[in-house]
Amino acid sequence: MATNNDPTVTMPLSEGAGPAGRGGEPAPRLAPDAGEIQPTSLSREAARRFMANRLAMASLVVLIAIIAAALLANFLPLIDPTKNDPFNQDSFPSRLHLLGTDSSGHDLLSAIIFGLRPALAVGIIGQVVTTLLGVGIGVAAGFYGGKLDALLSRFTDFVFALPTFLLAFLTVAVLGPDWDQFFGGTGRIVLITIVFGLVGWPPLMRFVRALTLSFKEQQFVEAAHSVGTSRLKIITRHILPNTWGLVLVQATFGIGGFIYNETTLSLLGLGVQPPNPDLGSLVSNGAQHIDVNWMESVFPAAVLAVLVVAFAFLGDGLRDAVDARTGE
Amino acid sequence: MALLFFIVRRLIAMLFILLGVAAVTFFLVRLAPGDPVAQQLGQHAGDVATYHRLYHQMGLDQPLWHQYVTYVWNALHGDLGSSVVSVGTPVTTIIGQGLPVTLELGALATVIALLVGVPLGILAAVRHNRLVADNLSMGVMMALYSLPPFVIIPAVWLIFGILLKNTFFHLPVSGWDGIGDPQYWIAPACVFAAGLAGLFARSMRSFMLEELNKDYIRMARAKGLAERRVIYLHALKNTLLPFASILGPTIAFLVVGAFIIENEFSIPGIANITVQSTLSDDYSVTLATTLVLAAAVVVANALTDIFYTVVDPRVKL
Repeated sequence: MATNNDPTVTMPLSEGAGPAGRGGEPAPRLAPDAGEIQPTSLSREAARRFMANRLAMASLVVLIAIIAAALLANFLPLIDPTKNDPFNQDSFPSRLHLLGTDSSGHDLLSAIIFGLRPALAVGIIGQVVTTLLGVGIGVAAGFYGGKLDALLSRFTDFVFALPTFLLAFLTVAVLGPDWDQFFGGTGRIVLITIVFGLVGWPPLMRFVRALTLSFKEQQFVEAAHSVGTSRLKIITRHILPNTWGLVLVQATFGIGGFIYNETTLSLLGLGVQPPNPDLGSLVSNGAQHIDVNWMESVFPAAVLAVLVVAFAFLGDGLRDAVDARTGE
Repeated sequence: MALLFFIVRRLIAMLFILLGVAAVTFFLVRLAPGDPVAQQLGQHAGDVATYHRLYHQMGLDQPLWHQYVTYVWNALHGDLGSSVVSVGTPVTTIIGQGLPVTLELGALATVIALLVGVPLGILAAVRHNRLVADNLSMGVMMALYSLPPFVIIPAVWLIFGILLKNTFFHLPVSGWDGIGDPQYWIAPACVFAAGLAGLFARSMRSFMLEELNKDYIRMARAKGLAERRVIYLHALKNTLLPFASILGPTIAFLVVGAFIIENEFSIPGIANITVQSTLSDDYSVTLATTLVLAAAVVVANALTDIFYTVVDPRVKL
């Protein structure tokens, strides 16, 4: 804790508000244990608002746990998800198979955890590509304006009009088998990620472009210009830091959307091919045996539900935290 | 005048986008493995002379761009080629069988979603920050919106297909018997509507909240109008305009949803036909049905844009 006399670290509430002429005199404390008001920044305020949101914090914890489980699946004491247990097919939970098995005797718990990987990979990596493209193109169009802006905006309009899901569906249906062979079994995950990444960026580009346009007119950018800051530095130091909070919100919603689309593709039989586990195909295969063992589809469906809804709530919480206007 | 220019420009842009989408789909499908000629000939594929004749007949010896132009030209004249699997059946006939089913299902889902989502959204805005009407109800709507329908489907089957078997509430888990036979469409249409209801409710809530905070509402209240009149006459009318802006996303949502619902409930709609055709390498069908669905999305987006601009004079041209 710094002392009150160090004005660079702490900022007493009365500073600036008090009458002039009080000078170096330390402000009198109102209450003995009122504490010092810490200096704060926009991002620290946002973090505080976010942490006060219980639903969003819970979602974050759940997501970290799910992602950690998927990443560390190889080190967890799990049965090989591709191994058939011919004596336990469509079985209910037992000591050997904690969540039971599916119709080919795969351990359901292990299949669910390994099956998270394709969905998370497409969601997160695809969203990273989308975000880089969207932010890059958006800032360039908004900052430089003119012909470049017109060109990039028309291009964005075109890509925006492409039906993402249909394109991904068609691409995977046509090229999936070849890519699988080329990459050794998981090629279509790369393919799906590429398609989503390349087609998903237009909303983000429009958003970042609009933000950049408004920042460009503001005084802090004008001030940076007037002291001779280079354009590149204005973009990286002054404009981008102001967009990242709102971009993060959009990206969080986007991950949920990509996972939705990826699991839909695997539901249609276009996702990771058996025997490799995949959440979407676990749900749909389980649903076909629902009269034999209802848990087979309900467990993976529940995990998928938690995953997608957690991303949605996290995005909601982030938006309320970053954009103070929507908060109450 | 500026408005007319805008509409014409937007429609021309739409045509170019449609051509672009057609090109992307066309060339993608041409990359597909498999030989459509051999597929069509079946056991006669060994006959070289017949093979070359058919190869020429299908126009495959032409340069790719020429094939594309021919395809678009024929498509504009109502000829989308014929199926390779059920030889000789025109693709237009196949689409003609599937499209009405998809449209009926989509319309049913939209109506159900409107009936559920819009009132809940209004209620949440009017009772802003109340536990049941706003927080809980909108939490559920958020979950419904973000959940893929196939997560809900196992639960529906479990309850209505298995647990309630032999009761009045039992519902068949697959099949389609037209709009006149509700027992087949109730379950799929409700699952389909769930996500859309979430979208409608959440959008309606935010549009309504925005309106209710405006000055003219305070004015209406100040002059002593009944609260019901303020909300349902003054505020609600003004939410209709922003509500039109979610028409585009709605169509995109319906297209993705159709793939899930038709596949899971074995409904012979156009999305199901698309999936089946990729499984049997019947790419002329895949190409045509994808184009129809894509065109629906593109046209809906364009119409949303135009409608919005025409109705709202504040949109800058």
